[in-house]
Amino acid sequence: MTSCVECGHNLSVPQENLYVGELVQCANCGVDLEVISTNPFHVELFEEEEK
Amino acid sequence: MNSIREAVLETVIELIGSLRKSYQERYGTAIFEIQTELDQTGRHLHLSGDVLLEKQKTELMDGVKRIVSVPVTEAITVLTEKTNPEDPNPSRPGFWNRLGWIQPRWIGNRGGAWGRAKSGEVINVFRTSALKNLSTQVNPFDDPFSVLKEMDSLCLIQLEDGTIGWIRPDEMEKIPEPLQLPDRNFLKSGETVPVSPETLEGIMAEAKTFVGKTPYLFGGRAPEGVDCSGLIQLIYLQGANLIFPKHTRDQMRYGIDRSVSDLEPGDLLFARVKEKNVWHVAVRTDDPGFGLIHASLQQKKVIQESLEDFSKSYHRLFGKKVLTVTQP
Repeated sequence: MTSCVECGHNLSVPQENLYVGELVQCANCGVDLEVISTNPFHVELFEEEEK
Repeated sequence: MNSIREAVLETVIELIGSLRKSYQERYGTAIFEIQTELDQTGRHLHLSGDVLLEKQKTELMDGVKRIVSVPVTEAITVLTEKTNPEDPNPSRPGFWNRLGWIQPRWIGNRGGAWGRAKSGEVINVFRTSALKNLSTQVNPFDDPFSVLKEMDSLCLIQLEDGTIGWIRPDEMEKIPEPLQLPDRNFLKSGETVPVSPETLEGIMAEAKTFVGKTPYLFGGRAPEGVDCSGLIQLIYLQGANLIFPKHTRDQMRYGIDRSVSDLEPGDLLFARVKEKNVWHVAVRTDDPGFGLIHASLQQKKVIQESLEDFSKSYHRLFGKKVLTVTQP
């Protein structure tokens, strides 16, 4: 189980079909999170800027 | 009656405003221009206007029907909706980007305008209608793009790689609707593109033309300046007639997974910038040792360096094989 990096809420998202770079939303605080790794499952706060 | 009518309209307008704001915050380029008409009796609501994506229309209609009890009709145009199933380019796949799944442009779609960059000039494409946040660029050698919406001082366009963004209309050259778009190769998720050894050599040679002299430009995709994903686009377009999506996060979805140690020349290495929540991409070269070419934000230009040096600035590395070299 992974927690939201913003509010700490447990993220209960089905992980089997997620891919690196996909965006998921915290159901508690609504912040956009980005899947950084699927194994182990890890998210970081999504930021618009890339490169 | 009037107070009921006004209450209904106010509720619907509030919903529209809320959705527009959420889409602008999430997507920047999303259009969501809706007009409301409620008849005098307050018994029929009609919505019209333009939205960019089918899911915006669905969300709006679902939301409106939840909050009003009168019949609702609509004449809402989805700007990216394909309308011509007989497009002569049926093999062009869609693209993933942060707006979701974008269908390719279809010849004959809504009879809209087409454009291209003027000879010798590059068009800047912005993420927002305020013409801020450079998203990508259009070169004279790129395919024509379709104009989704045209206003006095703004145009919303869709490019060959699926990117949607805003431009200044005076920067483009309007052209008649093309009879057929150029023949290109496209990536598919979970697959590699077969190329000849000569094509791979061409890709590598193309990559090296940027090293040491092309400056880093966020959103750049032209010989005068590139960012990491723009560089990849140019290398593969010019070297292999292959179209990549513009953004790194979308490029990661294509090809097949490869461990970093198994990457071969022409394969891509994705990574996170250390201490920043941003993605980066580099291409493995065909030089001895594990060489990488990439547009370095730190060094502000395209460089070639070893995997060891690359790893000092980036982490969470993973590879994608996008090419398979086939012998004749």
